[in-house]
Amino acid sequence: MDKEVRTYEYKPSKTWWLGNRRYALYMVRELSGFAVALYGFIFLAQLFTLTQGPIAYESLLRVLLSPAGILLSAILLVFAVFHSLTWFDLTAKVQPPSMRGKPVPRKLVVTGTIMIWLFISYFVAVFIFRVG
Amino acid sequence: MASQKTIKIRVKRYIPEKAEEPFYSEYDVPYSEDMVVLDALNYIKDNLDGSLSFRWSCRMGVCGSCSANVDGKPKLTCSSFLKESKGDSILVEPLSHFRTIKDLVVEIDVFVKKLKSIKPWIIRNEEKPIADGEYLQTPEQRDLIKQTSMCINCMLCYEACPVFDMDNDFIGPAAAAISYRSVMDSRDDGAKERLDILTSKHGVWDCTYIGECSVVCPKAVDPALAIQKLKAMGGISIIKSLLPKKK
Repeated sequence: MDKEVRTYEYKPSKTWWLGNRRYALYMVRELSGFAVALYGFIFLAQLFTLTQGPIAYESLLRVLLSPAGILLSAILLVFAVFHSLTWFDLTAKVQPPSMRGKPVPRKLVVTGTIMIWLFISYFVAVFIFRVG
Repeated sequence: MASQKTIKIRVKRYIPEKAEEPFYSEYDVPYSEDMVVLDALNYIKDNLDGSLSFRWSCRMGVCGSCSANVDGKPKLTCSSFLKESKGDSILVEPLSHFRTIKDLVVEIDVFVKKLKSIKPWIIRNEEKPIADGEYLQTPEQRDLIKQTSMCINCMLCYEACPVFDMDNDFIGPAAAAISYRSVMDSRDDGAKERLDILTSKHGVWDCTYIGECSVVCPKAVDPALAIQKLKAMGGISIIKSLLPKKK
């Protein structure tokens, strides 16, 4: 009869993600998803208050334009930009495009998509500030 | 005469008959520019401490037996040169996502079971007679599976995968990459069967795309990409199965 072999199991550490730069970046990216979700929630709240009339909308705007509201927006913006940039990087990895049967270099794909993003963002910003 | 230059090799040991917990042993090994970590381990085994246990076979990055953590990074010890080390010592530890049997030797049953579960052989609806010859492929068909065919089952990708560390039931990078190879193989008819396995519980959906598996692969396989492609294929396969079947 086979003798049972005693083995040793290493337990996963709670700080596993601090030992490797890529793991840490991954965790920050996942956390930044909460910031993007919160951004979306604030936007939905704005739309909701719009349906409730000018008083409700103005009171939400006062909160958002307070120093704390602006600080929150700035923090959320940093995380949202980080999330977007890493999203472009990941997309290039997950769906590597090819041209005439040859893969397009990843750097070119990432740079190209970020340029398109900035280009569209510029026109959106111009539209908002002109209309606003 | 100048004395021979040496390097300190620090090995994480586990000897169940000797101690409950792992411990470290240090060895001074003669150093030369062309030595790899596996050479140092073999020097220790032959000259300093015969009780040191580790797996190895080909010494040329093909068999995938000599995987370990070298200075904290999952590597093949036969492909890690001593000169690559930045300090004056090198730390060698077993793969920590697998149970240790002794020293650097880990229990690989958990991986072998996964490998078997994805049926890493050609599945045919109908086998043709041997007399009809082999199943042929065009170079283009071969190119589709070339990269994932390079997997040597070294399990370094499992060591790099925090999801596997948290949940040993996760199918994991290598089994998924090998499965992708089979699904894309022009000679294979088992795509649906495989996708059903891969999209079940503990399948490819558990991957959160950290991507470190592809970084550590010594054969430049990209298991992370293979898993994302399998997710897309699996999703389409699930949708197709929900649609009414043609009469």
